[in-house]
Amino acid sequence: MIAGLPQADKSLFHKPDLFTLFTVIIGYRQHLRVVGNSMERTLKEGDLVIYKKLNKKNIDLKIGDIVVASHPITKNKLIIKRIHRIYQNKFDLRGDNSLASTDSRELGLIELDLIIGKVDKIFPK
Amino acid sequence: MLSETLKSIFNKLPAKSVHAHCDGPCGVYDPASARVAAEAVLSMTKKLIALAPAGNDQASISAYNNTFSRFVAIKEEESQKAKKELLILWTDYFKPEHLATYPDLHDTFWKAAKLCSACKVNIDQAKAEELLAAVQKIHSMFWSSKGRSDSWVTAS
Repeated sequence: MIAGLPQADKSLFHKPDLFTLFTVIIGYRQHLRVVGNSMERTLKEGDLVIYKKLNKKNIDLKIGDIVVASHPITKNKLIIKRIHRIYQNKFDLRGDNSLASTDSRELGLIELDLIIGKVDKIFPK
Repeated sequence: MLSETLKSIFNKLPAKSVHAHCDGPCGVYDPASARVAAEAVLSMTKKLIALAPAGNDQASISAYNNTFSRFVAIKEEESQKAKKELLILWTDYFKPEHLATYPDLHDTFWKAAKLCSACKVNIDQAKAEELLAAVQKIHSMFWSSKGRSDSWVTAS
């Protein structure tokens, strides 16, 4: 294990299943392809992540959750990070690979409004 | 079998990208590295122009050749270093949105990189001074893009 990197969260790793495909097709879940290595050892370039969009009913974010958020500076860019700390409605998001991640250490706390969804499944490449 | 088929279907679904990367491995950028290299190029160019053999004897000629070669090697090395540092700023730090504020950004970097090459190939004090001026302009663009106005201080 590389020092400073958290262990991969295996609970989110799944094999693709019909139910998830159905939920993606009907739009209940969304899917995204990972680019970059700031979330290694959990996510690798090319992995597919499935997430549920946040709404008023399912805002249940906890420390350790992997979330998809809008980049606070660059428009139309989505980032994927892990919740490191929560301060009321602001989130300290960090990459699992702290040596190669631009995250709240540089971008500052991320407002709840910018958090789009919570990852609930990962399909490795 | 089923999971492989599903995996293949998922892989064929058009998927947007989500970024798990950093703007730079360390996020630390500073035109100071380019400035130091450009200063060294100018310094070595001046020294080369001023260099002359102490005499016509073999020992003086040998000493001259040795010093001349060393100065040229350092000038070329620092020119290459300046170019590398400028290219890092150009391609990694500056983003398309900076073009709105600095419409001549590409032209400035392109000319500065060309000056690095000219300084590497020739012993040309005017070009070396132009290079340092170009680096100063980039220094100003860089720090103003960060909302700071760090003054231009040279080492020599």
